[in-house]
Amino acid sequence: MAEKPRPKALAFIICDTVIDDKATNKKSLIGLFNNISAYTFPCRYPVINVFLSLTEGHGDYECSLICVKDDESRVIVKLSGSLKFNNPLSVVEAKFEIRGMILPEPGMYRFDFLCGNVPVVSRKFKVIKLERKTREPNS
Amino acid sequence: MNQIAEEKMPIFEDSPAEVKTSNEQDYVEVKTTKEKSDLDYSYFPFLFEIPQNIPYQELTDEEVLTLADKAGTFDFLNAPEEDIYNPSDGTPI
Repeated sequence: MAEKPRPKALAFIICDTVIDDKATNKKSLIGLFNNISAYTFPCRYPVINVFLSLTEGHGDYECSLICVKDDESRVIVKLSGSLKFNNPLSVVEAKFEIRGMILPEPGMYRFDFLCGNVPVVSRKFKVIKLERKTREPNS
Repeated sequence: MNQIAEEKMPIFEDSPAEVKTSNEQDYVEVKTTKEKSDLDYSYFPFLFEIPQNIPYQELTDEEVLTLADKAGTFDFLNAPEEDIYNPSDGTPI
């Protein structure tokens, strides 16, 4: 049996906040970023939002969003569920608000979105260690 | 906008509009459909709270006192300037 076509990603964005305007049904993405900085590790990131927009899907898909450390493929977060497309023209959008994600060390990380264990879209972000500046004594 | 241009603009409303062409005797019907042309759209907001797996245990009073003592918090009591009173000072109430 032929494999079901995978949905096509229209957007896959990491940001601070996704505002859903109930009056217009429009979504506003606030604070888009590609880097996270921290002084100490492991660090706990308060809120990270991953916004996803898909189309050209056929029926139901078992999907998962995973966050992996890029160089080791170590899974940091894995979230699974199902998405339904009423027809191939349907646009399905999802917001994943992850609170308290723990980033073990600096380096490259990425979010992968999979439909039936097949990657559909991927997005990298970098975690940077900040050095504390020691205050110079007054001369 | 002048009057002629205004007349030539199709009016896209719910009902079919009529537009005058350059030949004002002819009319072209602009078809506007009432059927819903919105894309089928779904939105799923998900919220995940990752539990904090750092073991946490409250210290007992004795442990807090021991820590404070070992940290030198009460060392100031040994300073000579703290000994400003003796048992013969003052009158008991």
